[in-house]
Amino acid sequence: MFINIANNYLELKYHSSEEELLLALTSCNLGKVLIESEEAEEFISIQISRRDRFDSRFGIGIYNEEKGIGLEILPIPDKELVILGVNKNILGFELKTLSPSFAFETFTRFAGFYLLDENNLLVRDEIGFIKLDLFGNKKWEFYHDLVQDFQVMDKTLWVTTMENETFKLSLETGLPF
Amino acid sequence: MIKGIEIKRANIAEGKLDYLFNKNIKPDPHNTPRAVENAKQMRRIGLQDTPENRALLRQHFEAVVNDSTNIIRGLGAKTIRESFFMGKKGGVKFETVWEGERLITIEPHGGLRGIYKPGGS
Repeated sequence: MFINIANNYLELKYHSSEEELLLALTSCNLGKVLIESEEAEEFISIQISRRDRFDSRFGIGIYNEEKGIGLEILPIPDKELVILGVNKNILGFELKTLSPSFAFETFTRFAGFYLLDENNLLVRDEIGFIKLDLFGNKKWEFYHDLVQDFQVMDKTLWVTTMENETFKLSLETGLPF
Repeated sequence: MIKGIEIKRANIAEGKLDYLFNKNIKPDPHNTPRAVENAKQMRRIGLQDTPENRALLRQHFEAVVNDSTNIIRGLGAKTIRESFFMGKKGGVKFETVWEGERLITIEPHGGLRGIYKPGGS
C-alpha cells in the first residue's frame, strides 16, 4: 500500500516471515530501524522516500505482536512528520530529513493516538496517557487503570476506567482536579 | 506463628479476570482485541472461565504480589511483575501491572510451544 504524505511516499508491505521483512529492507540505502519483538505475529515494512528521490529510501521494520490495537500511523503533513505506535513503542519520523526523530517505550501496551493541537498529542497506553510535543518531549503522564473511555473537551481530559472510576485531568498539567 | 513475614492481600477486581476471559468488555479499538487475545491464551492452556479457575488465578496472583523477586520494571509506585502459570494443556507467562497490592492489568505471553523464557518478553 502506498501512502502519500506531503512530499513523501510511504510504502507499507506485509510479509509472511522475518526473513522476508529483512530482505525487503535491504533496498533501504538511507538506513533502517527495527521495532523488534520475540512474539511477532505479523511482519510489516515501511519504506519512506521523497517523491522526487524515489531511489533514496529509509526503512522501518515492524514486528507486530497484534495484541490490542496494533500498528497506528499518525501523519502530520504540515510538520512533515509521521508518528508510529506499535506494541510498546512510539517512533517519530521526520520526513524532511528521512530520519527517525525520537523513540520511546510506553509503560504498558500502546493503545492509540489523539492529536491535541498543532504541537501536542496524547499517546494512550493501556492504563493511561502521555502528553508529548511533536519533538517527542514528554510533558506529563498519567497512569491509573485500564482505560475504558476518554474524551477531550476544552482543556480537560475525561478518563473512565474499566472499574468505572472517572478522572478529570488538566491537559496542561496532567493533574486531576 | 512466624514473625517478620508480612503477607500482602492482593486487590484483584473481578473486572481484571473478566478481561482475561473476554467477558463483559465494552467495545473499544484496543481493549476488545486485547481481551480476545487474552481469552485465546486462556483457551490454549485449557483454562475455561469457571469459578474454580477464577479462584486458581486469584491464588496465583496473590502469590505473585507476595514475591519480591519477580519485578521486571517499575514506574513510580507501579511495578510490572512476571510469573508463570500452568494450565491443563500448557503454560503461560503473565506480565502483571500492580500499584502496591492493586492489580491493574494482565498480559499473558506465550506461543503454541508454551516455552517459558525467564527475562524474555
